[in-house]
Amino acid sequence: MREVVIAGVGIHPFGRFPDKDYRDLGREATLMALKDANIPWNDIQVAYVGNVMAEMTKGHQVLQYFGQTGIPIINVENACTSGSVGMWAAMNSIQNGQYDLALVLGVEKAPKGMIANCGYDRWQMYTGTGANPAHFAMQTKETMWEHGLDKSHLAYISILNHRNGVKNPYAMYQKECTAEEVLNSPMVCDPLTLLMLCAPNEGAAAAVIGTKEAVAKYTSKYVTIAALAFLTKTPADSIFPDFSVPIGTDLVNITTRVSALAYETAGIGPDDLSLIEMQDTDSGSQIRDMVQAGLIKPGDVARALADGDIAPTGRIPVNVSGGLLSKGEPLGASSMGQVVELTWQLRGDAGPRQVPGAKAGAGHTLGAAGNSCFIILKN
Amino acid sequence: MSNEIKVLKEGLFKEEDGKAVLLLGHCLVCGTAFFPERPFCSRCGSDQIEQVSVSDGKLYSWTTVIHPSQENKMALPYGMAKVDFPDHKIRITGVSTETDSEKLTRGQDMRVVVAKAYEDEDGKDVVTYMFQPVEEGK
Repeated sequence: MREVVIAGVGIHPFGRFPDKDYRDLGREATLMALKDANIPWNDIQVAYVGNVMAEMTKGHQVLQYFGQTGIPIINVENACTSGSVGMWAAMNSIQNGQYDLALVLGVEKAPKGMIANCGYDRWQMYTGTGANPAHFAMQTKETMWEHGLDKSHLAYISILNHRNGVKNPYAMYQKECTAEEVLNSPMVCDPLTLLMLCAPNEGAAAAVIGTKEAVAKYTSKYVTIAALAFLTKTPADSIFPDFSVPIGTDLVNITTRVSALAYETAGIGPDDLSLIEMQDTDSGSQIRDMVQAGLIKPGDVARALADGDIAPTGRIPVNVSGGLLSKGEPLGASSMGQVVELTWQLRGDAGPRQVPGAKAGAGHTLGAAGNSCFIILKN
Repeated sequence: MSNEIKVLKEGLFKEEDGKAVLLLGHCLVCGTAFFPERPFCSRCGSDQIEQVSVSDGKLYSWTTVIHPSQENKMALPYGMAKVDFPDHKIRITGVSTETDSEKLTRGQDMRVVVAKAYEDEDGKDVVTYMFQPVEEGK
């Protein structure tokens, strides 16, 4: 298989932009990525566009503005993994020799409040059981029991990610918060308070990818996609809209499966990562996923958090971009936002957020109906 | 005078020997149980499915919802819970009759009940399955 590299990345800030259409957000991120890669739109051979909520042919609406070059444009909707699944498909088409240069864009304008249309049946919605935060809340309790944690550990994740977000000009909330503020913010579904949950919002992020040979003609500052794994759930994963799981099976959870596949493909394990961006939909999910991805050993969570293992200067910095808790979650764009951050980190372009000497970085996304992607980049 | 009763969705639950039960699918090939019942096994894809039922379980986890979600017709706040039914090795999510999270304990006995969820536009009481704590001695 041919090696695939990231030639350039671009991002529109994550936040709320009432005066902008999704097209504006997507075009800004795309232009930035093309410019960063030093590759003109006319040279792009295929484009994948991740989005959940916009209209028919959204990718076409964003991209044909740059010129109707006649290339395939594929719209991808896979919940919170829409962008990374687009990336996965683009990478495969290059690895397999079909194309040499591709654009991947994630773009979203999500309204405030709980996310609608997550695949629930009407009976689930009418009885209020289609409220995503309630499912996150129950998972969080289960994680707390499993690892012997309390609310202070949940607060710590929010504090850390918000502190990291202060250094990210593309984040929605660039403001620190205290444990008191996190714990006293309005309760949404116990034990999760408002500041322990990410906010659906708006934004876009893009990458130009290609074979090393094709990209090298335009730029020398590329980073390599060492692995990008994509899997869906088995019955053992308790992910909405499913309402039952079998107990006591030998099935392995989705984050462990997808991360193991990526580690094996890349030949890079959790101990080799310089940093990781994770799907911190809520504080509890980040904790659960850090363990399931092999970053923290079961039973060692409280110590790891207390010792600052996941802080920017720790053993394995997690969400140095501020994560979704500070950036917000533009569903189709959030995973490409991780790719932008990881690319900058590996190029040494992350400014005040730079993890010194970053050599390998990973991004993990997990979405409704059990989609999960795990990308590993190396420089 | 009480309102006419309307079932939220057919096939989720029924009354059996005076008790409310949830209707599950149970795969005759691999033994996996799933709720709601469906024609193909969620694990192995087999179509050899029998209907089984559960009514008594143990509380696994729970929360209280105090903010409205889209299309919700329940009065706020309402409880949600996951209950384990060891008979068929399955954990099921649903509404809990207990809205005060502090009153619940992990592993406590829960039973399936059928209760009013909300009143619909036609003035009918829409009923669904809920999980209710079993009080001691009852």
